Formats: sequence, C-alpha cells, structure tokens
Amino acid sequence: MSAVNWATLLFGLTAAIYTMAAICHVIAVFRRDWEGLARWSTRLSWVLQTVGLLLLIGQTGRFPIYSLFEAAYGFSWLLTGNYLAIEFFGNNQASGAALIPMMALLVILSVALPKPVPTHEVLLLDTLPASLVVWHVGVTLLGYALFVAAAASSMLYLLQEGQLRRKRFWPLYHRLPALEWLDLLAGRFIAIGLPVLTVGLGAGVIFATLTWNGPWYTDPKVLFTALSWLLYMGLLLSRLLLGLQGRRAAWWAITGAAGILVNYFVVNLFFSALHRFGA
Amino acid sequence: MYLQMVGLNHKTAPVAVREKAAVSMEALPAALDLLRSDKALSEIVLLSTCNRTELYAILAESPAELDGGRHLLVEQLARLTGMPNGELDPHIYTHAGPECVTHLFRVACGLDSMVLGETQILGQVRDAYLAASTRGAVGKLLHQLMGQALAVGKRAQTETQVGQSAVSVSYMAVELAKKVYQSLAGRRALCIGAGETAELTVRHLQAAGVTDFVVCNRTLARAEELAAKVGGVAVPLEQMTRALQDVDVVVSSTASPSYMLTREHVAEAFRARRGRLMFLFDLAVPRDIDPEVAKLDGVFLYDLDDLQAAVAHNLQERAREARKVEKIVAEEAGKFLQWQEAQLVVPTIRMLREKMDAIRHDELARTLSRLPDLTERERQIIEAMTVTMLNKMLNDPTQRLKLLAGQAESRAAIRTIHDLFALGGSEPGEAKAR
Repeated sequence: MSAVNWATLLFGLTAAIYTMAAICHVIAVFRRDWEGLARWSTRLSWVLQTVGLLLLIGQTGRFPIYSLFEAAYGFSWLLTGNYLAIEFFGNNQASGAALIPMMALLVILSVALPKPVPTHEVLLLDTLPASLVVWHVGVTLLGYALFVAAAASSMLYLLQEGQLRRKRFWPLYHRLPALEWLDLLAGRFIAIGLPVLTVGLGAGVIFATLTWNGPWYTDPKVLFTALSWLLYMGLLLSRLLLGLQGRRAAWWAITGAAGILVNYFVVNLFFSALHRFGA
Repeated sequence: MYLQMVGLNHKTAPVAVREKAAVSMEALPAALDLLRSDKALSEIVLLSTCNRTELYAILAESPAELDGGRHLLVEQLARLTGMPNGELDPHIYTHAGPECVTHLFRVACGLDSMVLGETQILGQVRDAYLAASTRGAVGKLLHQLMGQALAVGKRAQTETQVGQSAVSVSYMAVELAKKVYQSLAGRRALCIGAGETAELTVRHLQAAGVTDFVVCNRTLARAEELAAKVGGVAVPLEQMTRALQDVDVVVSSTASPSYMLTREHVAEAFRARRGRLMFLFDLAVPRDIDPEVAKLDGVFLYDLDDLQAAVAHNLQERAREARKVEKIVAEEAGKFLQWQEAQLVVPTIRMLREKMDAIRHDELARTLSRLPDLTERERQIIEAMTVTMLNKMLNDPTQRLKLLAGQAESRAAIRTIHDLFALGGSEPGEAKAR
C-alpha cells in the first residue's frame, strides 16, 4: 500500500476513535463508569492524530495551515492537546463533555475535506508576502480556539444551570465548577479572543489589499467573518456595559462558535470563490 | 500474639448503654493503665466516641476456648466502665484476626459510622492510637495495625468521594450555593425568620465564609438576638425587600402562613442586581417564598422537599462510593496480613540460621585445633569455605519461606522446619492470630 493510503486509513481511524471518545464523554455525563473509556479513547485519538499530523508535515514539508483540511486537523489537535493537559494535571474531565464532541465534529469534517494540495501549487504564496498569510491564518485560528473554549465553558454552564434548576443531578454535576466561575471563564476567553481575532483579520485585510485586485470584501467568507466579529464584539460589549451574563450570554457564545464552524466549513467550501485555502 | 477486639456501637446498643460504656478523653490514660495492669493483654488501643466503644488488644496467649478472647476482653471492659458483665454482654460484637483488621479499617473509613463515610471518625481513631501510644500500651503489632488504619482512612478520603457530599439539609444549602458561587467568602446572606433552623443554616454558611448577615424577623428583638450571635445586622420586616437587593443567599424559615416573598419582590430585587445570580432557600413549612420565583432567570429556589431529595441523592452517591472504599479496605487488610505473616517467618529464619551457625562455629574450632600447622592464610580459607557452604545451603529455604509468607502453607512449613531442625523456644506458628 502506498503512503497516501496508509495516511487515509490513519485519518479515518482517528476520526472513528474521536467519534467514540465523543460518545463516551456524552454518556459519562449520565453514567460515571464510562469516564475511564472516555479518557482513554480521547488519549488514543490524540496520539493517532499526532502521528497523522507528523505524517502530513513529512509529506507536504510545510507547516500545516495551507489547506482547510490541514488547518482544521492541526487546530483540533492543539485544542485536544490542551484539554488532555487539563484533564491529566487538573484531574478533571468535566470540560470533555462539551469539548470532545466539538473536536470530533471538526476532525470528521476535516477528514471529509479535500486533501492537501502539493506544495508547488501554492508556490504563488512564496512570491507574495507569504508570512502575512501565515500570520493571518495562525492568529485567526488562535482566536477561533479561544472562542471554542468559551463555547465549551458556556455549554458546561448550561448543563450545570439546567441541573440546578430541574433539581435533578447527573454524575457530571459533581465535577462541574461553580456557575459564576464558568461564566467568568467564558467572558475571559472572549475578551482575549476578540483582540486576537482582530489582529488575525487585520493581517488578512493587509494581505488582500496588497495582492488581490477587485472588491475582495464582497466575498461571502469575508462578509461572514465580519459578521462573526460583530457578533463577538456585541457579546463583549453587552457583558461589559449591560452586565449581560448567565444563560443568555452562554447561548450567545455558543451561537458564535457555531457560526465560526459554519463559516469555516460551509461558506468556505461552497460559497467563497476567492478566499479559499490553498487557492 | 493474638489480635482481637470487642465493642459496641450505635447499631448494637441504645444510647443509654453507649453513654455508660463511653470513656472520655480525660479518663482515657487512667483506663489504659488499668487495662495494662492485666498481664493477659500485651497491647491495647481503646477507641471511644459517642457512637462506639471498642477495645482492640493483642492477647499475650491464644485463648484455649473458642470464646476465651471475647470473655477476657468483655470482662476488662466491664471492669473499666463499672458496668455489670451481663448488662454489657448482649450488646457486644467481637472480631479476631483478619476480621478484626478489616473491621478496624472499615471503622477508620467511616463505613461503620451512623452517617456513612463521615470523616470525623478518622481523627478519633488517631486520638485513640496516640493516647495508647503515649501510655506505652502499643507494641509492634498494634503500631503497624493502627498506623495502617490511619493510612487506609486517608486513602478512602482522597481516592473516593465517600465523605464529600452533604448529608444534612442545612449543609446541603451550603453545598448548593457553592455550585453557583465559586466561593462564599465575603458573600452576603439574608435570613428571614430567626428560628433554630435558620440559625443552624447560618452557622454553616458562616463556616463556608459568608461574612455579612442581615436578619429579618416579625419581632425585631428576636432578629437582633440572632444578629448579635452571628455578627450581622437586624432589620425590620418592612425593609426586607430593600435588603434583598444586596444579598446573594436567602434563607427563609418563618412560621408565616402566607408567602413572605412574592415573585414581584424578587424580580424587583433581581433587576437592581443587574443579573447577578441569587440563591433562595425556603426552609419553612408552609412555604415562605412563592414557588413562582423559581421561574425567574438567574434565581434558584430550593424548598425543604428539594433539599431533602438532594440529601437522599447524596446518600445514594455515598453508598456508591462506599463500594470503592470496601475494595481499598480489602486490599489494605491483605497487605497487613501479609506483613503479619512475614513477621512469623522472620524469627524462624533467624533461629534456623543461628543454630546452623553455632554448629559451624563449633566444628570449625574443633577442626582447626587438630591442624595446628596451618598458616593464618590457610585457616582463613577454610573458615571462608564454611561460611560460604552455610550461606549456600540456607539460601533456598530462606528465599522459599519468604515467598510463602502470607500464604496458607506457610504455617505448615514453619512447623515442619521447627520439627525437623529441632528449633527450640516458643513456636511462632501457634502464636499467630487465627
């Protein structure tokens, strides 16, 4: 079998184990004895993903942010890695219930996406201010990572709040931190994520003005990104000025993260002609 | 060397018997001295709490009859407490050997307690051990046993959650509030009504860090009384709605037949709080707070039934965790028994080696005296050979005996070695706890 087939098999396996980890994490919300399986399947999927990522870098010989697949794959690797560190050192896997299903979705989508373009096709980038693109993609993804973390924190908030309100407690309840803290955490992630996203988008704007002719700002993906930015700006301002918090803030943050995913996968693939990875 | 315990607890004895059998911390040293005056007991620990009195002892000799140990210890307990033997006896349970080890470990973990998994007992076991140790009543065996019991109790607390969740209504309120506010330190609480339930809950909140209390009562004098006790301020009933805005936790327990707090009251206060969460506990029957309040976003309301249901839920959680603790107890008891068995093997090995070495020594001296012409170096070579031979011959039996320690065959092996090699002295195989 050729190396590519091996890689395809590995990516498929990673996605499968991720799915299993996500299912285990969701069941562990209700049944404590699934926690061990959730923990170990997550670790296994991350190890597989690490191998896959190394293979990818070996094959393409570049930092994996040039294609949509690469970026989504690397992005989820980063987030799951951070989660595993929290789970291991903090001895708390509560956040996995929210985060791992999202990561599984990301990995499945990324594996289903078109595979990386060989390096020579993106050579165009080398003649242009390529480092600007790296900055644009890298920093924007970091911003997205913070927003996903905010959404995970918000989901845990809703889980906990719902149980306190219904007065029925699932095993996960005992491991969840206080509502105020989850709310604060989500707020902080967004407060840090927004400036980061702004810097990332700024790099993109500069790049586009320098290299793309025509009205690049009417591209659906660019418009949708601007919309997400406004959504998070609105959330941050409401939190700071109007004292918005709790359930409504949590739903807002989750909506934002869902929007990012839609933008990333749906808009990017089907609507945007200009702004595409590797294009 | 025979390990046995007798005792009574909340399951076997009514409180009238328990209080007579209890030995206070102050009386403990004298009691230990009294017990130690009897030469039949070589090591003792006396554990006495409000729910149990237990005497752990190492008997100097294995009892001849089946109930011998029990009789002996109950007699001692009767002598100690001044209770007639017949009054004490029906409430007594006894455990010997491995069961005694398991029982002590379960006690230390709170598995035998009235409130499953409570952690206070571990401190009481520690105190009992320290007291006995200070009076010189503890020898090698009980040192090992009690030390390990404390370690098991600690393990149960850190590795399981058997003692972690609230099992009383007033503490439940604190636990729930902590699920909303990260810390209760520096929080404000409003207490409507100044009865006993209110006071108990306030005490728990205070222990959890709540510093500011506002007490509200129909008769202001009662409010002032409670406020003085907990270091809060008393306000008349008319100002209750105003006070509501600034507090995070509300505890209500008045005898009022109608609602003290309506949805409008709370909604108004909540608006003034700009969305900050509120937790209300309604401990009154009939209820003080309109259940409609719970429908407000950001306001949590628990009444007495809710709290009791949550307590029942926690008790189930504890029972589930207790199964993990039972496993830890079994594992640790196994470790102790193995240690104990190893203690039996060690003297046998030592006796065997001493006897062989004595023979070697004698024969070497005799041989060397018949060979007076040997040089110093030649004498040394011959002596070294005897040592090596002895070591090599004893190596296998020593290793195998150590491997047998803790297994059923070990006692038979020890007996055989004592028989075959005619090892004198007391036979350790007899001396071990059955």
